[in-house]
Amino acid sequence: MGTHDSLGMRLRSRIRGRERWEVKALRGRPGTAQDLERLLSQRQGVLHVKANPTSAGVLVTYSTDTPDFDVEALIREGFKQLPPPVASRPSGAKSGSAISGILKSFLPRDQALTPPVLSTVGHSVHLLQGLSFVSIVNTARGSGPGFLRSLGIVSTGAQLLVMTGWSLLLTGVDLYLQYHRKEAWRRLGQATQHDLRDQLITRIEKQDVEFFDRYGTGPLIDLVTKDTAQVGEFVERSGDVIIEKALTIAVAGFFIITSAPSLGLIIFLPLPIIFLSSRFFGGKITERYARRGETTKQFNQMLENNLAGIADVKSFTAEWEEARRLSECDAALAQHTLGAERAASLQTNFISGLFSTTFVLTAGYAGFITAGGGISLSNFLRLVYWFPQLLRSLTGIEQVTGLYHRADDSAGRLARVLESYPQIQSGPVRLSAEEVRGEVIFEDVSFGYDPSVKVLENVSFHLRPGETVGIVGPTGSGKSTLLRLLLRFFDVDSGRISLDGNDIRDLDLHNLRSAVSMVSQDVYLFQGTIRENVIFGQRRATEEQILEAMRDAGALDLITSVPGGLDAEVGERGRRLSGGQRQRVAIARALLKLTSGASILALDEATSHLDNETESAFKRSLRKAATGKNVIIIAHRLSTIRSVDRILVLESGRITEAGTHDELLAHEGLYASLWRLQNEDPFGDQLEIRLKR
Amino acid sequence: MKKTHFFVGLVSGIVLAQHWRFLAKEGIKGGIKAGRAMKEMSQRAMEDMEDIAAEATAEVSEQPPQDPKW
Repeated sequence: MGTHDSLGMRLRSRIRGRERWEVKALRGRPGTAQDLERLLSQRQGVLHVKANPTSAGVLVTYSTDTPDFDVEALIREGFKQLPPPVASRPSGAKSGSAISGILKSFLPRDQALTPPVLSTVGHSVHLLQGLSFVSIVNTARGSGPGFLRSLGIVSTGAQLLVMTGWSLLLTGVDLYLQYHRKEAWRRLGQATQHDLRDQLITRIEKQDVEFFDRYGTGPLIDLVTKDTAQVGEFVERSGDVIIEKALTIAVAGFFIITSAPSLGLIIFLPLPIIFLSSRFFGGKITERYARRGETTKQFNQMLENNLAGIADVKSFTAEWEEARRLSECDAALAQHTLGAERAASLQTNFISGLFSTTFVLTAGYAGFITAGGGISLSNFLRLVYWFPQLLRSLTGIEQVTGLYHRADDSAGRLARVLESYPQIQSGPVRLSAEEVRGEVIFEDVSFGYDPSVKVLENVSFHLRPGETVGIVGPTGSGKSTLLRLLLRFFDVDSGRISLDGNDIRDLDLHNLRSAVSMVSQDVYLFQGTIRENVIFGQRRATEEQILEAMRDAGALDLITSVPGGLDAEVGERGRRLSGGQRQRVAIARALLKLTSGASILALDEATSHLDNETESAFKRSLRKAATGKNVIIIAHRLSTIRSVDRILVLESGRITEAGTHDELLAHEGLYASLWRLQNEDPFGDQLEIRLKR
Repeated sequence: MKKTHFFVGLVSGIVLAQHWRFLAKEGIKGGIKAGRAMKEMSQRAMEDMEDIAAEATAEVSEQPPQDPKW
């Protein structure tokens, strides 16, 4: 069973959805093991990864929905992509569980002391109440506390009165402290959650576009809302419970052992077994919670897609089909939830069973020694009170373990994102907006979103300062990808893109992106007013500049036609505006950025929703607004780019034609065919002839 | 006490005094290595148990349900 190679890989166990490999290269390298875990966990279909640097075992569980899942290839690929070993680990990646790493980094130190102190004092007072209860019973029997007699309080009635008063006082203090300690833990939980959420959002915002493609919106929202809340809840609730249990176990254990030592021994006998069982069950429970987390992610993604595309769902009358798909995914989610809860209950039941057995044995033994006169009646009373308290504390540990497992699962997901560093890093060369001339050169650029499928192949062109270039080509020919590469949303696989002679990989990312003002194919307006959308990224724009940008974008009429004018709400994703209105607001936003210093304007199908008249007006304004600037226009409607300085024709990721409108018509290539199709030959006969050739 | 025992003791003492650091270090090294080996062995054993349990569970759930006898 297995194969050998330089990594020393050998298959140890394989069933559907789960494989364990021995990877000798991992032995004694805990940092590499952590990096490998992190890297592989991010791969699609992977549910859980455990890399053990001691045993050199790598356990991978994966979704059985993924056909031909190759774990060996996954590990090999993972090893290739691992960063070189570093001396220091990033925050949250320290040894130990994920939750401990997260807490070490995010628990606010200045607030972390008060809640435990209040809990310790509060629970101590609560235990004192218990002691005074036992004392009241003993006082009633005539053997009250000695200190009362030494104070001159000798009658049973007076002693009972003092003890009752003392108990009432303790109850008052207990109630007061209960309120304050809960408040303190709540504050600590919220502060941890807030810090964690802040850091997480900052880290997410810095990620590459590829990261967002990989994660999807729904899971990221869950991460920011639910997973951080889970960690917050763990901090809020577990600390208090742990202190309560620990104090009760210590005090009750002390009284039981001092009252009847042999009995204490029996009671504490199951503790080592509990410890071992936690280790045995712990891994399984975490794994099942991770599986549940993965299914939750899939369900949320599906639901989000469904709701976002509800108009299409209805127009295709696919409501029933969609409901069925969601129901199936929800059923899988319920099954995984049950699996996780079942594993957790199994541990709880095992521990409860163990304690029940101990309880029976202890009760029997206690009865036996009491009957034989082995312990006094006072000690027996103490046992009667403290024994159930101890048992309740010991059996209540599962409350904390449940919280722990859920928080650890969430912390694992959070740590993976917090430790994800964008592949695209800013370069050292700074170019201020005033310095940028806007000369763009693509040199032999090849790129594919999947490295094996090239979207662009050996693309070369030169965009001179002040030039306007149009890019045309069939759908999927790589036009938009050119702009995404220019903005460094992705890095080229080979070749080079330069701005003013500098490789864009060497440029400061902020400077580079500030130099390009883009209107993308899928216009996105943020929830807010028209004004807020126009000044997005240019908060200091004056009213005059806003109005000028709106005028140049042909959007000035919006101010009068939409109730509320510039301050009208655009709705979620700008849904309250028509497609053309959204495009004009987006163009105004881009033009405002251009006037604020950007030197390249990139329009990706930016006028597709505008009527011919509005588009012509915009083109006229653009000549003025973009004077001295570089303009790249991607368009399917060729009339949009007819008058540009140069037109590039892209076909299957390659530039097949380049020239002015007249030159390309004379060339009788794809451009000429498309032009005739759009302007002279509505039935597309010429285009068919061209493509058949 | 025999003279030979005295001399053996003396020589051992001198050797120990001269090389005690080396011997102590080697002893500790041996302990660490043995500890690591034990740790590795126990973790491998735990993993093997988990694998066997998972394989057995999978095999049981893959077996087709048997027809009732009646």
